[in-house]
Amino acid sequence: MPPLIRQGAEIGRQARLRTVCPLGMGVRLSPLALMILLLAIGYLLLAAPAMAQDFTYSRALSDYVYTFDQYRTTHQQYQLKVTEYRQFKTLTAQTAAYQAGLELLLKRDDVVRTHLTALRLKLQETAGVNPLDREAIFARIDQEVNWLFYHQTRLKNTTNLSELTRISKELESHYPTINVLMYQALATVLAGKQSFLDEQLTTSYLTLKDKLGVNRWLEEAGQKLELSSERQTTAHLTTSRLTAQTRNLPQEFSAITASLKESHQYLKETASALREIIALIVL
Amino acid sequence: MTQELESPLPSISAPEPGTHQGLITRIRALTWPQIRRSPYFLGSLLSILILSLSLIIWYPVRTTPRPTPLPTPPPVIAPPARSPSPWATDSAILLTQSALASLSAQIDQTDMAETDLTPPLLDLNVSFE
Repeated sequence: MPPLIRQGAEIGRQARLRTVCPLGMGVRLSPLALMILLLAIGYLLLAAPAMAQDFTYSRALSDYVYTFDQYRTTHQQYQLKVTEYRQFKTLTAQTAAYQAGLELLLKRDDVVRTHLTALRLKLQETAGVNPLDREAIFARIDQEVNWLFYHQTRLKNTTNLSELTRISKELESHYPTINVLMYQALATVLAGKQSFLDEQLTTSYLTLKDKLGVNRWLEEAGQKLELSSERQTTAHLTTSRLTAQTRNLPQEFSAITASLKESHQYLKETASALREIIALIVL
Repeated sequence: MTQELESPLPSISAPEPGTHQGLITRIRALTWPQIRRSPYFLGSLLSILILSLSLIIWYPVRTTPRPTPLPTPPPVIAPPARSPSPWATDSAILLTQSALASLSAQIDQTDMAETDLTPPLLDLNVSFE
């Protein structure tokens, strides 16, 4: 090979191995390093979604249950230390009470946060939830989870019992807003389940109506389907009326679940009636 | 003595003066009116009559069971020949049927309480004083 051509080929090979870094500086990479870099990028691209997919509702619920258990243990410890502090009023007892109190308040925030996370994932996995309702609740949950992280930082920054008590009160005064969100999210999950079943049953009902035309039994089944929808609407209205100022949230939530259970019962009866109609006509 | 010995002995197998012959002869000599009046004849006739009656009365009862009265069976009417339902082969109906079966099971299994996600009861009055 002539010397000039050989030199040109050498320059070309070096140019092919040279990559440009973001700062515009030429960096030489050996083929092995390039391969390792590509493999690392590929691993990151593939592993990140896989890790995200692993976090399901079931996992989130386990986290919540575990955290709640820890909270109960911490609460017992807090009660013990506070009793000792009230009894002896020593500096040692005060420090122990502060430590136990801080631990309790951090766990309390964790319980609320993991509960909201479990609700978020349940909403995500439940088919039939209205997308607009889902997105609205997601936004509120995310906001509250951020608030809780910030609150935990503030708790950690306290130095004495009076500061700890003051920061603790922040959650206590903010909790009605979080509590109503919890009940609304749960009601939305239940309504979503019901809506999904209702939709499927309505499809079957319409198919039969299309095939059979006017049929007395089919009309009766259709009336039950309408009653089921009415109960769902009632539950939805009650849920949307809930606010942080609503008195007796558990009782209001019971009314919502009662409406949804009635709706569910009507769906059961409709499904049974439609099956009976088909069994009779195919004989 | 010698004369007695020389006299011929009576035959061993000589028939004795028979009484049987006399009875048979007497029976043979009986006339029908005499037979009818005989107590033996009446007794035999009565025995035969009793035996016959008892056979007639007991024999059928012991051998054949008493027939139980049965209701008259309803007249069997053959069902009219039916033509198969047109829906039995309709694909949309069959699909709906299977969809409804699965949906019914789904409705029964759906948890409409979700007690796991009930908001937690927390101590919201933490104080140290």
